[in-house]
Amino acid sequence: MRVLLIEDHAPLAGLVSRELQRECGWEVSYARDPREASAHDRASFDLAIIDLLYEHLTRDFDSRRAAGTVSLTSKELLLSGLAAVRDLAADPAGTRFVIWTSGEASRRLHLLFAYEEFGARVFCSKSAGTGTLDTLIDALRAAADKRPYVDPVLNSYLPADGAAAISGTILHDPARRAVWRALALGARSRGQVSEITGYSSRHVGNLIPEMFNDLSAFDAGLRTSSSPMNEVISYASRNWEFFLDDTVRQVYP
Amino acid sequence: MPSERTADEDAAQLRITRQLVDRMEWVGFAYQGAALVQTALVDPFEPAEKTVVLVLGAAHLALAAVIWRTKGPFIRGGGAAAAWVATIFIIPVIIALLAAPGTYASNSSCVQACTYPAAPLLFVAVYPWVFTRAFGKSPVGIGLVVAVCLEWFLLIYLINGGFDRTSVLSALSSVIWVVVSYGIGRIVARLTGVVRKGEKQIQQQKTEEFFNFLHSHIKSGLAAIRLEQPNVPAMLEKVGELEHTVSEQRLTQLLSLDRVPLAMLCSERIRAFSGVIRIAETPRMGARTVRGPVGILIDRALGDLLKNAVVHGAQTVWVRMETRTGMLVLEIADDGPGFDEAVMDDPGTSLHRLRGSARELGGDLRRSGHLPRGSRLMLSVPTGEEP
Repeated sequence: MRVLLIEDHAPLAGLVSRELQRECGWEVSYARDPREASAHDRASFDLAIIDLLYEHLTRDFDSRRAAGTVSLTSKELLLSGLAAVRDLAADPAGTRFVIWTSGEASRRLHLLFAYEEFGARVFCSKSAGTGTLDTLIDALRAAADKRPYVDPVLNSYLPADGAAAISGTILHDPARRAVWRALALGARSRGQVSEITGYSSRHVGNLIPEMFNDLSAFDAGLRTSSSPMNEVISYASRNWEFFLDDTVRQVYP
Repeated sequence: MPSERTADEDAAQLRITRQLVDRMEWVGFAYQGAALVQTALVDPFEPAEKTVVLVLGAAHLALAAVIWRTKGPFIRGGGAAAAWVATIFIIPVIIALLAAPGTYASNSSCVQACTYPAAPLLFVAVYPWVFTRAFGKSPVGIGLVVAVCLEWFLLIYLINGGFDRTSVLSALSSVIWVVVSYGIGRIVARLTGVVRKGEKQIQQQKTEEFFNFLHSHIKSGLAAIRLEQPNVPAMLEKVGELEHTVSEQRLTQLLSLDRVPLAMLCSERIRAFSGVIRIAETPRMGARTVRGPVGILIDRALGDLLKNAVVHGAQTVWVRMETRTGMLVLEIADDGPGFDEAVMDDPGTSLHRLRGSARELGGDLRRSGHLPRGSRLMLSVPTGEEP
């Protein structure tokens, strides 16, 4: 089998490639990020292993964000593994994929989005606790057989049955999405959000309680909050990698 | 449900308030000096008495200058703070005694130097810690406001021999001054709380970003070491220890958040046991967060109950978690030898302590059903959210 590994941690990528070759006899090609992966002929691969966030891309984007050179209409926002997931998920008969992540806070909404929006069903943790590649190999075999497989370490990140979906809550409305993105860019007042989104300050003020309602529906734990504005700002800043994700913007402009 | 404040948060608010008080105390003395000078110039006094009041005012202004350069009484604390507060009772008596005969409280807009107590009362409202040790926190400020107001009525009664409409209006107008000052102080105290929250949020965010980056790198690095050196037990042991330390630090950081993400909590705990015991079922929590104390309890329960399962020789464990009408329910079942219910009543066991902590939060820990083999424990805790 031919496997495409999209991973930015070069030492780990090298070892995983070597071990998959040695243990399973698979041929593994390595790409540092989805951009580099697009240079490969994806159709020639049976399987892909996709990391979610890439440090060099995140760091570069964050520098531009801090410098104020990113806007809602920038040609490209943050490129993440969701780009590769979207491309591969678009062709159900094509390359099967495994989402391979450490499962940090900055990736949890990406995980949910991949599950809900692109039907990702095979997830494997980078550090599964077993100290071997057994879990990854199991995940890859499950993907090849079109079976779902979720590493127990990552299972808790996925939504419970009947849980409110991202698409039906925080990404539901275009105007609210614009405000989420403005807050993720660093806006902290209605005036600043208004400047970035083009909406009037009053309209932004009306949207914030609605956004808080969306957020409370998405995460019932936030219902105890007494300050919608602070909660919404805090959520946007903590999850800026998701709100400013390029693929998320393409799917939900 | 009000959010719980930790000792750290109290300490943070105290620090912010002290910085504010330290910078502003001199203003309080300047304000008091101005109040005395104004009363000397506006209200009727004999020349000698007027001079005394002016000297008192000048002395306050001089003190303001000294405090501007050094520390004020509230920052010094103890006797200095008590002395400043005592002046709000002593100076009105002096002013009442110095007032020209028949003129005390003769102006319905205010008693002489009625704004004098305003500044210390405002600072007491902003900085209640100054008397915490001696009097306890909340009743001191209100008690002082009431005492100052009653003192004016008492002075009017003693000096004028009774009340008339003008003197009562004068005292009531003065009461408004001190109540408003105290109210402003309380508002400022609330604002310092807002500053504290903002400061905490920024710190949490920075720590979280740092941990996300660091943790992800360490995990990748350690996974690479394990793959590179699978046959060196001593090294693998060290790597295991390092992974455990990183995981514990990550949990500590997670549990310091206002809202603890359950998915990350479960993930970290399950990771720690996934190479040790077969975990047949894990819960899906998605984006769900809980209040800090609930998160701390769930983390402890996961750690203790999974450890118990391993220690008592279970081969497989099932972890479930769900919310039911305002309660978060964690259920952990294993195929170990099981245990006697009496174990939970033994104060020396972790189960007993865990049950105590759950009950403190309005929840419970119970053994669920009687199984032929293994055990099933159910921990429930109120989430404190509106349905």
